[in-house]
Amino acid sequence: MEPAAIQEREIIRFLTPRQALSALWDKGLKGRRLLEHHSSLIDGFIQDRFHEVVKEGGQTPVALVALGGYGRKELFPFSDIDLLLLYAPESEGIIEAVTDAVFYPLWDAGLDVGHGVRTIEQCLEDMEEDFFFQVALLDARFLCGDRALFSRLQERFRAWFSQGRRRRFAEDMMAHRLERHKRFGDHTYMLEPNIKESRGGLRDLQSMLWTAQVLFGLKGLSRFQAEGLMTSQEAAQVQEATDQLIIVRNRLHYVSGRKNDRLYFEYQEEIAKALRHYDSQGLMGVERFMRSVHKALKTISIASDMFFEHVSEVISAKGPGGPKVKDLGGGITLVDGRVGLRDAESIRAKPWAVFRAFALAAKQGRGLHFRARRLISELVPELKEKWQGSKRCANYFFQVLENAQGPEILEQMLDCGLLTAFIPEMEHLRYLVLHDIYHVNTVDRHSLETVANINRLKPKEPEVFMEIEAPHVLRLAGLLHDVGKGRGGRHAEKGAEVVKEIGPRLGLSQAETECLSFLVGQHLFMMDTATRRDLEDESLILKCARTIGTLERLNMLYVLSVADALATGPNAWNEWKAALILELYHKIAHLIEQADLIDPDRVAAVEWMKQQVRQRLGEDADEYLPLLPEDYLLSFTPEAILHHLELSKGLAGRKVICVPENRGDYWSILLITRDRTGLLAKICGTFALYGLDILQANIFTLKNGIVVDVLDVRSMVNSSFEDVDWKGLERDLLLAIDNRLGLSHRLAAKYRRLGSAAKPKIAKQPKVVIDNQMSDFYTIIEIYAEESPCLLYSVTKILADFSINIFKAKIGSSADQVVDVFYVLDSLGQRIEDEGFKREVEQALLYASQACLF
Amino acid sequence: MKKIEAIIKPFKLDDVKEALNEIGIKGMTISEVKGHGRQKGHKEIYRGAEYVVDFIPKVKLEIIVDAEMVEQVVEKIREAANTGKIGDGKIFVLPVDDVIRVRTGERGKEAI
Repeated sequence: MEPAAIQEREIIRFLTPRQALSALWDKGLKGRRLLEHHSSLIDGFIQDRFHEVVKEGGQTPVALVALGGYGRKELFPFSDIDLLLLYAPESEGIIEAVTDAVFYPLWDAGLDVGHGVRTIEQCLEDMEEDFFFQVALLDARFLCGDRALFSRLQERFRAWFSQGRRRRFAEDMMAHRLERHKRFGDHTYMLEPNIKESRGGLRDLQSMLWTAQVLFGLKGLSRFQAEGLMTSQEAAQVQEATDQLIIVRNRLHYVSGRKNDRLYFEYQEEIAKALRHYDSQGLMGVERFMRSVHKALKTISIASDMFFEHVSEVISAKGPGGPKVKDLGGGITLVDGRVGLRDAESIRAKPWAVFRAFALAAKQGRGLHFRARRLISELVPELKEKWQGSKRCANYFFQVLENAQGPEILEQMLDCGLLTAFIPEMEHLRYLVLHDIYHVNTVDRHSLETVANINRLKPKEPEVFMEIEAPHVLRLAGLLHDVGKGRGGRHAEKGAEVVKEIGPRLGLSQAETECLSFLVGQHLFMMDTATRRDLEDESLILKCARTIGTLERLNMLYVLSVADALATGPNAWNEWKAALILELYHKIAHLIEQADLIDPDRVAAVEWMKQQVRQRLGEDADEYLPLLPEDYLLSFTPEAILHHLELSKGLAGRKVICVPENRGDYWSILLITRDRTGLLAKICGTFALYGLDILQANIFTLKNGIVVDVLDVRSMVNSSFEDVDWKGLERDLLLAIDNRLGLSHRLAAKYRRLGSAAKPKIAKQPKVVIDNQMSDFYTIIEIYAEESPCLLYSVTKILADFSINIFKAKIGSSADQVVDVFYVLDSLGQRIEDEGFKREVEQALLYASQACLF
Repeated sequence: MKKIEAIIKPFKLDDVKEALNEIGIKGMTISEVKGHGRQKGHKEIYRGAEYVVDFIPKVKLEIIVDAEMVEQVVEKIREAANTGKIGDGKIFVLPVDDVIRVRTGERGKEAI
């Protein structure tokens, strides 16, 4: 034995597994070779110890056998060392000496050694009960001792698997596999896969190899190809994927410092760096790394799925000659009830057959037969151009989208390469990972889940779906909403551009493509707005309503938003978010229904006004423009608005700006001041004090609290414009605002003289309507009453007494009645929704409309 | 040391975070919570179907600060979260016995 080799073996004795691993890495070993080398070192160590007790070449029927992973020479840094001490009954005496010599040193070195001591008979007995022992023995490898004894075990082992037992083995394997997939399949394992136990992990690969060994007598992946169980390309891919996972697992064990197979979030970045995945082209290094991991898992997953479907078919075969095949015409078959494809020739003749097959399978709710899937993936390079741009294929494709109640059928389409052949833009979404704990699925899977969620939402939201005339566009949006991801930049905008080319290819009309682009571009809009914007801001909702435009689009966007959130992860959708989105949805829907508000003519008019004002304001534009409500903008000329803004600058010095203007028939008074509770009452009262009858008024409140009121008045006593003491009016208005003017007693004194002439002759019963339906943002109070000089003051005084704030008002007459409309909120900023309060206010206003308060 | 808990309107979160950032506070715990109070829940009758949401979505922030910073922090939060309308929320100040950093075991002010 070479000195270097002895030295290496001594290394095992003294180093921890981690240190040993480091030492091996430093020698340039990685992946499978590292595992083999590690195994060899342990082999040597064990052999040496064994030969201290049992002379080499001796006749004692005792042998040491490596089982399980160690048997396969796949000894990971923290793997168990699974040993079997095989003996013939007559050697029982030497057992203790062997175990002492071999096991204790291993334990001392801190290694995890599993050991069993059995005769051949005992092995066979244990195999009856223990499936996992059967599996462990499959990988048995002779280490040292009596080779003949070992061979006898092998023979008995092989013989034990008679026909019935082979089938039983396969069934057990499949059952365990299913169980394992369930246990390691939920969303947490998408984010942090278990390299060994997750779907497509090393266990899946092993299960495949074990089953092949027992059922078909094949040992090793290379034999799969020879026996036609895999194409050469598949075999190469599986090999590569396995090698990759081994490298990752090695590194993972090292980083974890223990036997951990779970790629925890915190480890992902470290391992990515160690394996040289760097940030580039809009993707983080860790995202590149995890993408390669998911790809490897997927590759093995697909291969083992196909393999076990094949096995299932083999062991459930009712008779010789394979499963029952029924021809449905057009290249489509039914294989034991599952949709399949006849052969490559019929598909070449009718390329759309593959889509039709998927459409049928989707309606069935089962998947496509595995041979069909394999056939399709082989034909992809040849036929993909024929598929793209084929309207017939597109039609069947939409049927698949429509019937997918879960992502499985779409996943099959994706896995066999058909989906990316048909929509190449989806290629780079494959295995794409976003490195955060919020997005649990890879982007491709997420997209498929979104489509499924849309379909699952349909029965739950029938009213919403009733409005949607083009559900196929919605589903396509669900599939493509993240197509802009992974390209750097804002993915919604990018996606909206990308789908503009995809739409026509799939047979969408221009209108439909535009809708598709809108949905993809805005798919984050509702969630963002609902959670980050003030939903009580009317102008915000107005903007939303105009962006979205129609109820159909709103409903589509709503469904897409919910489906997307549900497919993102457990934290993306909950009651809390649902409450906000629902509120937003209803407010937008409400405004959309009030067609006049989103009428494009009105929108154009507002925009034009904004432009005009902007031009005139110059650099002040950004400061002032956002303050101006739409109604205000539409009520004045640009020059008037500018005039108002100029005047309002002077408010610092004076509290009220009052500008009367003679218009012949009537006088127009512009009032600019700061808003405060009861302001309108004071204005109305003061005007009444000066004998001015308010014919019409527009009351606006700018967003900075400045009030702009335009009141058209006429003298009650036929004074001329010049006769009116405008200065006095302004002075008294100031006093009133400062609460220094006794409006009530002065008005009473002034109008007592008018007596019954002032009292309204009630020909019509006044009407008060307090409405909360029309607007989501204000309570609207409408008062219909007979003209009277005290009406306005009385009504506004009542509102002031209730501390109700008036934001907008339109005061005027219609025919023989006065119609006053007030947009209000209570002192807490809420609408008047409490029934009791509402009634109280209504009663008070009714009284004020009939009787003078002064 | 004190713990400051603030219940605010969801859309004000960014404003509050920014305001706290300005005075050097970057670490906080944020949760989505359901509020019941004077502010009314949302009830809609839409095409004959009634949708009732009887809670108001709010956001809760939790921060630990040195006692000296409390007034400043409270004022920053109040200012940033204020809209003047009902439902703006509340801020609570609670005493804290100790703070421990899990990674290093540091205690007290060092661990904030």
